[in-house]
Amino acid sequence: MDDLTLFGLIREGDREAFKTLFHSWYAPLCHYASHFLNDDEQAEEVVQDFFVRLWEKRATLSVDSSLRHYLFRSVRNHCLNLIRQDKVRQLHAVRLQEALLADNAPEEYTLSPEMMLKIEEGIEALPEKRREIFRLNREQGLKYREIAEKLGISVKTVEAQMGAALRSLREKLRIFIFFSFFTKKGKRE
Amino acid sequence: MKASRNIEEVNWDLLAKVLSDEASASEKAEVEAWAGQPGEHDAVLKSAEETMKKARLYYRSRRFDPAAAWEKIEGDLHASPPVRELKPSHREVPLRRRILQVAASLLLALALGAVGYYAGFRQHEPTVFTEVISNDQQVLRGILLPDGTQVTLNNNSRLTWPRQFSGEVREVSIEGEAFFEVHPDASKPFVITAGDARVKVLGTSFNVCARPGEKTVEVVVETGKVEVTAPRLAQEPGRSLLLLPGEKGVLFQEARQLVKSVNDNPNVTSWKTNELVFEQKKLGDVLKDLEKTYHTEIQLSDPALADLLLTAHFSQQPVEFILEVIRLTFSLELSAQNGQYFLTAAQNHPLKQKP
Repeated sequence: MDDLTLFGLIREGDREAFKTLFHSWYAPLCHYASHFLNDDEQAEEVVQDFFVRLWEKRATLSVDSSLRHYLFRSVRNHCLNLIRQDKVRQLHAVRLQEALLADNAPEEYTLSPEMMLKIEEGIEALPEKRREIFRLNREQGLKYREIAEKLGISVKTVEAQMGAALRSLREKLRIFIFFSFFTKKGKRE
Repeated sequence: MKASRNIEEVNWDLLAKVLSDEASASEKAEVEAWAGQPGEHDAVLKSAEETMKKARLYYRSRRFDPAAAWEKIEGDLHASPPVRELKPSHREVPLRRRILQVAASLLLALALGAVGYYAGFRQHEPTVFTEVISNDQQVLRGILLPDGTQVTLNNNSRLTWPRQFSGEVREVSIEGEAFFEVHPDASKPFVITAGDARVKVLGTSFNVCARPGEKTVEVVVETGKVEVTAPRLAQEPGRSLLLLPGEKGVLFQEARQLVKSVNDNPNVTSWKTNELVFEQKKLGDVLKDLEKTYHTEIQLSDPALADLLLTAHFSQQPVEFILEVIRLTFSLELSAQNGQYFLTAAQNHPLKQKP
C-alpha cells in the first residue's frame, strides 16, 4: 500500500491504517528527534504526542508532497518548540544551532521494513560471539579496545571478528543495498 | 567466477577497521588506494560502508519499540471528529541545503569579482597611484602593496597607494574600511590617511573604518603599536593617540575629538574572518554586527526587541543561518524583501510579557 492510499484511509478514520503508519515511522522519527533533543525518552514523548495530534487532525489532513517529508518536518518543529520552552533561555541559541546542524536528511534515519528484516536475519546468522562483538560496536559505539577489555579478548580478535561479521552481513545485504542505491536517486526530494 | 575472485582479494578486517573509525592514517590510505584500482573494489567498499551504516541504523532504531509506544497512546486516539485544520508544508528544500547553495554561489561571485577587478586594474597601471575599489558586496582579500603589506578591503571601500613607496614614509589612503597587516620597516613608517585622521605605524595589524558620511573614523589594533593623529585638530592637546593591541581610537570628525577606549566588540574584523562572538549582547547590536559582516540590512519591527540578549558563537555561517537561529531563539518571524531582512515579534510573543 502506498503512502497516499494509507493516508486516505486514515483520513476516513481507519485505525488499522493509522497503526500501520505508526509502526513504520515510529522508530525512525524517534531516532531523528533524539538527534535534536539528545534524550531518547524525551524523543519518544515528542513523537507519541505528535501521532496523537495527527490522529486528532486526521480528517482535515492533506499531504500533497512526500509523506516522509511531512512527518520529519513536523517532528522537527515539535523538537525545536520543545528546545525553546527550556527554562534557561541563554542556552537556546547554542542548542538550536547544534540541533540545526545535526538535521540530516530523513533517509539517514529510515530503514525499510524489508531492510530491517534482512539485517535482522543477517545478524541472527552470525555466531554468537561475533554477533555480540558486532553489536557492541554498532549499537553502543564501543571502540575495539573497549570491546576487547569488556570481553577479555585481544584487540586482534575483535578486528578479525568485525571483519568476518562485515563480510557475511554485506554478502546478505548486497543485492538490497545496490537496489536502494538505485532507488534513492530517483526518490530524493 | 570472476566476482568471487574479486571478493577473495578483499581484506575485510581492514575494511571494518576503516569503517569503524579504528584505522590509522596509513591504513586508510591503503584502503583508498585499493578502492581506486580498476575492477569492483570501489563498489565493494561502498556496499561495505552502507552495510556498516545500515547495521548501526538498525540497532539504533531498535531502541524504540513501536508496539509498546502504540499501547501507550492507543487510549488517546479518540474516534471523535477532528477540529482544527493542518496544512503540511510544501516541497521546501531543507534550510541547510538552501543555505549551502547560497553560500557557495556567493563565495564564487565574490572570488570572481575580486580576481576580475584585481586583474583588470593591474593591466592598465596608472601613472602615479594605484587604486582598488570594492563594490557593494565585495570583500577584496590579499591586496599586496609594494612593500609587502597586506590589505583586506571591506565592501564599498577605496584604497589608494603610490606605485612605489619612494619617500620617507609609506603613505596610503583609505575611504571605507580595511584591515592592514603592515610589513615591518622601522626606517619607513607606514601612514594611512583616513578621513581627517592620520594613522601611523611601524609594523602591525589593525582595522581602520572611515566611511564617508559617518561621523567617526575608528581604528582598532590587533597587534603592534599604532599612532593616530588628527592634523586638523591643529595645536590642540590630544591631537594624537598611541594605541596598543585591543585598544580603539575614535576620531569624532565634527566634534573634533580624538578618543581612546578599550575595544569591547570582538567582531570588529568579522567582515574579514566571518567569525562572530556574542556574549550577552543586545539583539540591536548583534544585528549591527551582522549588517556590517554580511553587507545586508536587517530591521526589527519593535524597538523593544533590540534589548533581548544573545549568547552565541558563529563560525563561517551564512547570515541566513544566523538569522534562523535568532528567529528560533527569540520566537520571532523572519521575512526578506528587496535584499532586506525583517525580524518581527510573533503573535502572542512570550517575551513581550517579560519585564
